[in-house]
Amino acid sequence: MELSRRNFIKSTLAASAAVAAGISTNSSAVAQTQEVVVERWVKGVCRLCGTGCSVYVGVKGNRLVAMKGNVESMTNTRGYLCVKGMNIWKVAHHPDRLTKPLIRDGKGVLRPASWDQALTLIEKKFKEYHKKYGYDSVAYYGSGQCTTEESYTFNKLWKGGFGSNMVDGNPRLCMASAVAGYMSSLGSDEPAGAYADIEKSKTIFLVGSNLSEAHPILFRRVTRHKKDNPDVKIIVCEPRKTLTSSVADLWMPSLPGTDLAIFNGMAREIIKNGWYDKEYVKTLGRVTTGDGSKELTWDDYVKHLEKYTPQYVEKKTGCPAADVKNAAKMFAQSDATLSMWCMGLNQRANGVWANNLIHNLHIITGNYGKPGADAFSLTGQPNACGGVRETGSLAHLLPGARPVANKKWREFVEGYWNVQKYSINPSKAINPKPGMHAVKLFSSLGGEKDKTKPVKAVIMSTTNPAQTLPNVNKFIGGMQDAFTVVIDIFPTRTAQCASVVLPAAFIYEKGGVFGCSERRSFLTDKAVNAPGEAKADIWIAAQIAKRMGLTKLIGWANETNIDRMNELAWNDYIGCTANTEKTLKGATYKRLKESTVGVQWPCPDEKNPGTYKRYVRGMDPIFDNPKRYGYTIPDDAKEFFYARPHGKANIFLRDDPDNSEQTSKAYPFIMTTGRVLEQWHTGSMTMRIPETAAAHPHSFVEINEKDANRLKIKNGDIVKVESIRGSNILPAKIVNNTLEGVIFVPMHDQKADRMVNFICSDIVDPISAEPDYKVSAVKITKVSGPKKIDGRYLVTREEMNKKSFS
Amino acid sequence: MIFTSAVLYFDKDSYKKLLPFIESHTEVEVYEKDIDAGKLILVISTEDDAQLEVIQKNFLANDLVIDFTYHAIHFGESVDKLIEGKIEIDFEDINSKKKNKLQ
Amino acid sequence: MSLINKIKLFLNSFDDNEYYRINRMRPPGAVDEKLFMKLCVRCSKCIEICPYRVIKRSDLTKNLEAGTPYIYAEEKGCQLCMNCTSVCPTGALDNKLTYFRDTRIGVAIVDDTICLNHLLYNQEEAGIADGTVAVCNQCFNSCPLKFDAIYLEDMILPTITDKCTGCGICTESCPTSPQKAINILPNGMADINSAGYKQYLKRIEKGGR
Repeated sequence: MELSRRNFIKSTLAASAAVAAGISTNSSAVAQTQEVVVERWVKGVCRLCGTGCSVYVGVKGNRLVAMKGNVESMTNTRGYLCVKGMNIWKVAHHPDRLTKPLIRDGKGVLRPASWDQALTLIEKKFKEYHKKYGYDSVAYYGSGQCTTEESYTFNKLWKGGFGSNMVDGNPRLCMASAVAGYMSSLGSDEPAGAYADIEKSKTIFLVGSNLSEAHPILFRRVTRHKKDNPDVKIIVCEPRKTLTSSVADLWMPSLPGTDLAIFNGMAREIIKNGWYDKEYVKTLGRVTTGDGSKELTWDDYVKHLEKYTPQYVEKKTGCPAADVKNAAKMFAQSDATLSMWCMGLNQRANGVWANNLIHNLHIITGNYGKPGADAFSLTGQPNACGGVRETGSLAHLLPGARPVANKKWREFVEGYWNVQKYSINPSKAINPKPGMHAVKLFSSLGGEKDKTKPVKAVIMSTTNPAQTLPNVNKFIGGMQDAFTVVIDIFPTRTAQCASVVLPAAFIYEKGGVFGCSERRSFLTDKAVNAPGEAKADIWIAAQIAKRMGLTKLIGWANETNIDRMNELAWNDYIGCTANTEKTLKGATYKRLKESTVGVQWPCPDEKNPGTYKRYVRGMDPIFDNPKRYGYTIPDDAKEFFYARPHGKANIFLRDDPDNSEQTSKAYPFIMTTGRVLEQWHTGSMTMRIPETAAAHPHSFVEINEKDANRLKIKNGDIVKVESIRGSNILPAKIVNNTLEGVIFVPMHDQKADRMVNFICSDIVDPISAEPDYKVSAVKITKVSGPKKIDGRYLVTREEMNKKSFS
Repeated sequence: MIFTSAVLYFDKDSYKKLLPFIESHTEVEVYEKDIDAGKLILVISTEDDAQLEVIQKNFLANDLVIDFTYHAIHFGESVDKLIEGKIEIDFEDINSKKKNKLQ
Repeated sequence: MSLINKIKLFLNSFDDNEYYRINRMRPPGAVDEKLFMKLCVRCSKCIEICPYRVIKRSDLTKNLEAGTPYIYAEEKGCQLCMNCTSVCPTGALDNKLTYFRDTRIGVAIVDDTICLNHLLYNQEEAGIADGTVAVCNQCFNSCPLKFDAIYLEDMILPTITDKCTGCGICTESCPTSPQKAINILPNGMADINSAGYKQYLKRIEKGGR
């Protein structure tokens, strides 16, 4: 080619311009995504938090392409979603999806296998261990993110088929204290009221909850309610200033682990000033202590509270004395007070007591039963209520959330399940002794050779204990040594420890029922097929049932259609619990399929619309036929806590012990943990969504500016946060609105040196066995100046073959 | 002779409409195109910078043009003349002329 | 004046309203743009010291800004570690600036036509609901000076205060696409029109970058 000097100059100029302007000379048309074309919208619930927003997923061909809110919803009214939920469908088609069963070979490498190979191995191991080490040597660890049908199936398989109560789940790590709180205070698990109480309330007490980030849709309902009704008073009590505090009329700071003093302090103020409801206390309250067996007097209660003067409370908690009085006044003198709490009260050394104390405040002020008044425990996971608590898929429960130790109920379930005939356990019965709770289970899990570890195998689904157990270093070895089967959609830390990994179907690929915080069960329809060979949990349970000789017990085991399997499991479940106060007998599968609002239990028959408010005649159908449920309710009782003898809720005398890990000279800071709006749990899903992960692509440690200045730590510096159990290396975020001496680390990062559970305290509540994630004693040391952090760390398929976590 | 390379950003759906307009400027040659991204690389050959500015003004006035930005200017023989002192450049004058009005 | 000096003078003094882009800012501590262009000797020290690789050399050149440092907020915002201000040898970045809250790289502006929270609020106020709106807050949540530089009006509408440093972390976090709902107007802007904002909107509208 002939190039004159002129042409050369021109070409050079053009070429450099082209590079600068980013012109690709090989420009093949990149199709601009125009308006997304949706062929059909499929009804369902959001995969994430316990709010239970209902949605429609948009489908084109066999792909999810969009999501929108259900405008008829009773939970996310007007169909609002949060940015996390709006994008969660994107994980379905992510390339990292597990699509084939994997079996770990002798060299520690996970190799693809067929379902038959994987299931045969599982069958072999289960049968071997049952024989060698007993029926309690094989456990199931479930999740509040599995569907109700799946949890019910596995629970029945274990408790009815194997005669083993070695069934527990991750709600043990989040809701167990709330469960025990409800059971001991009111006699029955789960809230009396519903979200509808938000718009009817006059005072809202938000405590132990970062509502704005953990339940953003409910936060919007609260803030909108306040905007439309400026007289509504909102109290926020928390250990660090969060966005939630912006809506507060009264902000009560409280050092982590100390707020029991505040609740007792508020009660003292309420009683001293005569702001309590004498009549309500007389007819519907009962003073007690300890396990609730011995009744005490009102005077005993008043005397017990004397210690909790505002000055005492201020000294203990850091909450100003005047605020205790103001809070008491706002709480007691409103026409309707609604309390909402979550992990801040549950994940505590005395979480059950914290729950009891909130119930106390409501009982003494008569704040149940009427519109806008309730002690409402928010659930973190989308199906901890429906799938685990209500089906009784915990070590000490049976369906209907009744204790396995309750002989009458146990015998009923044995009969209903025909355990006598179908169980493969020679006892031919449900074991009356509770199994192991989560922390105990994983402490007892280990290899065959380890005689100190009686549990040799565990199968778990939709949960990640190798990242979420407190003091997690203690449990990783056991998981690696035992025969561990992990069902999941993505590689996780737990899958990294597994002997067998089974690829799972995502909620929109299998369908099923989720029951949210407000007792509302909602059915998600299957929208698309699962990728590769991924299967629904219920199918996996069915195969195990068949192989273990329990096809008759699990009547749906031979079905091939997942929807049919789900329906049969659901029918079995609602039949089993039809005569409990949690009855969903009226929520037939057909009704759930057609409904755009779901069904709130108790719902005893198809005509019943579902129950907004429990324990109130005219609203709660239990009143119409109490005998059916084993209760006695006086005919003239308008309000009655029928699950408790004489219908009286318990006012508990509780102390404020210092059972959390205490700070010391060596470990002078209190570390508290929590979440951020944009991430979910261990980040295996949300770290894979760039749009939302951009806000928080990795963990950090939030340090008060004054503390930071003392330690000469600047914004972005890399610091080591260390407890006696372990440490993390984290970038510092300097803030000026948290409490001095308190630091905060979120829970979502998978990177080994940013997994906060290496640090967390493994003290558990003595009643519920729920760990005290909220209080750990740590020290902070500067490691270096600011460094670039590679965010969105993900455990890969390759890393799953390594023994150590990077 | 001054040679200038420029990047032309335009409404990608209107490439066909824009083409005659570009071609009506004999000083302008299209060297590269990325029509899907709405970008063209132009090389403009003018006698002096005043003529260059007229062309720029014309382009920016066209509704289908989103932006027209210079990338590099080669002053050609003018540089040799400059160094030999045969041309004097009045910097003040250039400053006042180089006011590009943004839409 | 010799030719060389005339050229030097010319290179470094020109109308500073010429060509700016939103979301393209100078590093923290940058002096007034006109002065900056005189002082910056393109030594790259600030680019090298930035631990996050947020400061980059300018790409598309116009007005001879080639080699000068920029932060592109849409890719990554300034993490306010303040390492760069002390290494600039000429004072183009103010060496005395060490406290991150005093930085003024620019100011964030919210585009209320695409901000998810604004869209939700509009539906709420209008009493309509079509299921397409979502609560976001990512800009607020990621802001290193949250509550001070940004707060949520009515608990939902992101509102910027005069404490905004213009670091751009909010822009980086914003989930909307192709255009961000929150953008940084770099310091030294005369007004929105001359900032190239309208040009940028036009370009993005038509599918450019």
